[in-house]
Amino acid sequence: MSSDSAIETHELSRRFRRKNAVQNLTLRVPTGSVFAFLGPNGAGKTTTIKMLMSILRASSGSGTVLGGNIQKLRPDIVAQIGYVSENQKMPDWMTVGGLLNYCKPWYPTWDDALCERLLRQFDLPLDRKLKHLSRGMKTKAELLSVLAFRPKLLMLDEPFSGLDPLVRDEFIRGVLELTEQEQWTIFVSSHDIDEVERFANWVGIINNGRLELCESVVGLQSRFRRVEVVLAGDSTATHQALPSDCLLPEVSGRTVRFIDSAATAHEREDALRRLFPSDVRMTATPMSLREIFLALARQFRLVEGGGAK
Amino acid sequence: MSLLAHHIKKDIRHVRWLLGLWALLVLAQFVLVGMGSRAEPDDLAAQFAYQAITMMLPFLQAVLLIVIIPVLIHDEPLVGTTAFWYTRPISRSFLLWSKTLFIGIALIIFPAVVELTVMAANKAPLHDLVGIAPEILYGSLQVIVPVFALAALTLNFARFAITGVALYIGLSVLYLAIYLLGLYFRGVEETAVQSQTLALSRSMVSGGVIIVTGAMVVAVQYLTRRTGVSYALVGLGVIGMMLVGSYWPVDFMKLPQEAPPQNAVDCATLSIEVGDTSSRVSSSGRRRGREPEQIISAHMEITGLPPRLKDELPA
Repeated sequence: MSSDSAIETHELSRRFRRKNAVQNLTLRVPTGSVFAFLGPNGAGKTTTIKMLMSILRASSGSGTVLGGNIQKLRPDIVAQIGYVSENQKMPDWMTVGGLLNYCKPWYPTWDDALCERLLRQFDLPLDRKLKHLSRGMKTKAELLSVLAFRPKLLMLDEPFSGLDPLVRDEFIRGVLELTEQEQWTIFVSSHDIDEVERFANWVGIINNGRLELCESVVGLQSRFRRVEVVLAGDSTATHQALPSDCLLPEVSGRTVRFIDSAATAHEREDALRRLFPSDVRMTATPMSLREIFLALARQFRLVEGGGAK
Repeated sequence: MSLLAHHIKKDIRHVRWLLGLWALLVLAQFVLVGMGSRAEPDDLAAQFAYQAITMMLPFLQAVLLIVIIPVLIHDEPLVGTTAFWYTRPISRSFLLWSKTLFIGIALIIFPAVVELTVMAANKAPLHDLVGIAPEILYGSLQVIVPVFALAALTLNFARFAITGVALYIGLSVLYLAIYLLGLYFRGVEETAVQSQTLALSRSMVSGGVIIVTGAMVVAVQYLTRRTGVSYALVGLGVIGMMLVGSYWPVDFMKLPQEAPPQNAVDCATLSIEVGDTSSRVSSSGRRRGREPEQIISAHMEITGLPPRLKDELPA
């Protein structure tokens, strides 16, 4: 592993009987980044995270997390990773205080002062058993038990599922506050872009077990544009001649709309200008991460359905 | 405080009520047995109550064992992908060591020590205590190791119970099938074990196979979490246990030949009278190459037995 990447995988794959859950995943998560790992339900996000945490064995390929081989992460590496997942089965018979007391000795970097502060911030009752907490409270207790040891890498697997908006906001604020101060790396998986758009600076999109895209949010946003062209005459022939990186073309009367996924490429504007007659009106507007994700998700569906442009 | 002590303390906290009850039952059983019944010989109700309690206590202990071990193991399950400990800096070998130590001390050594203490309090000679200690431990291991292994193979108590029942039914059916096939192909005499001590030897070795297989399953589950390999080991263990139970040849439990016992029966003075009520005599049967035989079940009166043997026989 190079010191500037917290996670690296090479051709990582996992097969469940006949189904390829993850296929040839090659990924690099820069140290200090907030990496949003996005994809629709069943895309392979959780399987990837479980392989990264050594919970599941990879069928093939290799990878490192904080320099440790993911085939078998050593306890000293795991002690630097904070993992929060909606699927994790907590020891429900413990109280919040019992959980914190149990976790503390395993982590040499455990910070009592930070734990106290987070406890107040999250407003968690120390003497309440985990099984008697609401889902949101339980997630907060889980998060507290990992933030208190100041992890170098925070691995969040669908952490917002089932949380009400207030708790989501508290959760995100808690994470953001600390990561900004500590320069931690965060790897967060979600099927909902709204939740991660606020704080992610890198994004990876997985679909059907394949990584379709992995780049910085800045790079992604400069590359994608929503383009609308109003032609003087018939638009059908013109829209069929669009390059393959113009996604989801739509024709409505004399208007052609599409997503340009290579807007930063040299001579891109010239190429588009050449494609359309000079008397057209062409507007290109920047897109939010959410719009880009949705456009890509629609494009993936189109490709799977055999209707790709 | 070491991490091992920290982890064991957590386990004790989790099963403290069950463990307390278990300890109470163990103490009660051995103290009651050690004291013996204080009831008058003609106080049948008290005698019966004493017998019922001393018989019930080991059963309750076994039931508690079947609850305590899975609860303990399923706190850090070895199957599935959602366990809390997978994402914490706890090594597999550490966990194996911690659980084994807990079970070893609380569920094997503690009752053995209580039992030996009660025996010692009842003036059992030291060489007898030394001789019986391995037998006590062997008996405990035959129960605890398979339960430990089954718990290590399952995710929660419900699955543990279902798998356990399925395994029990499956093994019973298999045993029955093998026994019936033996009867069909080999006849009653050859199917029946010829010597009690050989049967005991086979049972001892079968128990050993169970312990070794269980221990291997536990080790594989903890160190590799390859449940498929563990189930294959269970299959091999079952086959091994059945083969050993039926064909183990060495009768190591047979005592050396000694002089005839004092209570040897003189057949010339022995008379057996078969009662004329409630007696049943089967029709004469004959299997290939054998003498005809009849099975008689009846009330019998035996006279002429030596006094010592008479005392040992049931009324």
